Amino acid sequence: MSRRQAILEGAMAAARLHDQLDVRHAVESSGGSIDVFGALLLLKAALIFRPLDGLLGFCIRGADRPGVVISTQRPLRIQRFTGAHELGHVYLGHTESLDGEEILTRGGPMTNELEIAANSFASAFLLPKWLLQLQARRQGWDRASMSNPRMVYQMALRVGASYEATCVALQTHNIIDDVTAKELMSASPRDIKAELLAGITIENYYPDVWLLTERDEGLVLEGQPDDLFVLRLTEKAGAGYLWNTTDLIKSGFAILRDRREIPPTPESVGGPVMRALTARRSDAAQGRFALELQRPWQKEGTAIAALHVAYDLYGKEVGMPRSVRRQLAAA
Amino acid sequence: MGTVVATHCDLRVAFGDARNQGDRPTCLAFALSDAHSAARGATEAMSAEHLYYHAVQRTPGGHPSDGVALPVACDALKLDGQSLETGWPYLTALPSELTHWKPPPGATPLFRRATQPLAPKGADVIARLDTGQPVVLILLLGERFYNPIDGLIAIGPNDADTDYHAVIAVGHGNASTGEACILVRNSWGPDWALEGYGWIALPYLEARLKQTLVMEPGNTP
Repeated sequence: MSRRQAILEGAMAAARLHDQLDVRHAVESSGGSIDVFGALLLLKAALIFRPLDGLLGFCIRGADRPGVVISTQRPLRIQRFTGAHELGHVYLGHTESLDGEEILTRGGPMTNELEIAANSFASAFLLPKWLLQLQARRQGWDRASMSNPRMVYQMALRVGASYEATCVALQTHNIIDDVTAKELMSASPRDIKAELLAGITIENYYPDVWLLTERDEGLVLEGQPDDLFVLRLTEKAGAGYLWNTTDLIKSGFAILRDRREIPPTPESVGGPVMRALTARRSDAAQGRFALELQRPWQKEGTAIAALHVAYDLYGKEVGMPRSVRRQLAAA
Repeated sequence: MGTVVATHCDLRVAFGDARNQGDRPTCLAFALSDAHSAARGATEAMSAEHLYYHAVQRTPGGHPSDGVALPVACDALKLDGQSLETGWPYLTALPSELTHWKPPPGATPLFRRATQPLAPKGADVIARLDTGQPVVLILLLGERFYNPIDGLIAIGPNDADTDYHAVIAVGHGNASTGEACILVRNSWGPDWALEGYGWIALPYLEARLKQTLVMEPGNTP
């Protein structure tokens, strides 16, 4: 099999598995990323997260079911890519594979056709063109938007991939050209985060900075402890409607900044204003928060707009997959 | 601060029930329309929709979702005029096709009115009220304005700026503490404050008052 054939085989297999598991339907309802670990479990693979020396992950073909082990020494996004790579091995019927850093290197030293196919599978499974298009439609982004590092970074957060992997996927799917991809790659995620925080200083720039707007209504997001959330919401304050932040605070988030972008003189009276909130939750947690646009003196249930977000801020997986532990705890 | 115990001037009788602008940015059109109605000495409501429409048309690049500036709205009232509310009743929402947003054939006759800007000072507002003239106020609201206590809004904590808003001063009095207060007619419906009217302590008003005007006497031809 040639390199090209291996790439094609991996990509086609990923598309088949999307159909088989009805992945698209699940993502359309959540607005989030593709559940790669859930897919491994649906294929009856035994999945565990453990410290691994010099490896990102490996898979073996057991007597009655495949087994996959993924390193706990890398962040969730790398775990997800590694999981997708091992899923490729499992779905393509490969017997066993030990996988290190080389799977993260695009067009790198990889020569083994099985590894090339598994990596092609991983990219196509996690970052299919339809997922990028779905997120773009939801956010109102067009092709030109994808040359803006700030928007590509937000795309990466929503699809659960690294910034670099998202740039590569946009290029692979011909959404951006080679020159744009190179320019995007030269942008610093640290600078993007600092710009979003607009003067709020943080201890380090490992946490992500999510920009949430009304377009994210119903979003299911996966982040890590200490991630920051910049909420930019249109408020009809001149008509008596304010965004109610009570539930956000009750959900355990600290509001670091809350301000409205009001012109210094009343150029327009009663028009909408932008409310910009920056919030953070430092502990690993799962939950939901809701902000509602309502008249504060009126009773609940009178909101004219809402932002409901379900979040999982546990970050990287350790031990048994979280979804399995939650199922066991609920049983 | 206690409740208002002494009312020295109350022009509410010149107005009908408090109206509700809903979630549209039309507070200024409501304030000017209701002040216009009172200046005409009639209890018939004027069409806020009609005035807002003209103000948006006069705004370069104007869009009905954005609100309008005071000088532009005053020009619309003086030069374009407005019908009675019955001529073009208020729309709770704009038509989905914006080209359908235009005055209906029955939106006549048109009533025009010139306005006179005043210095944005509490004492001047009170002086005008004492002559029987309601005063249109443009305020930079704070969050306390949204939750009056016993119908009263006063300086205090948790009062972040929110937006510019237009109301009409229709009276004044004193709180139980002796502090002077201005009675305003809002356009947020009858469940805000005291059936749609609220008292603003004078220090709060002066800290947040940006522009004021009154109606000139007599219709503009």
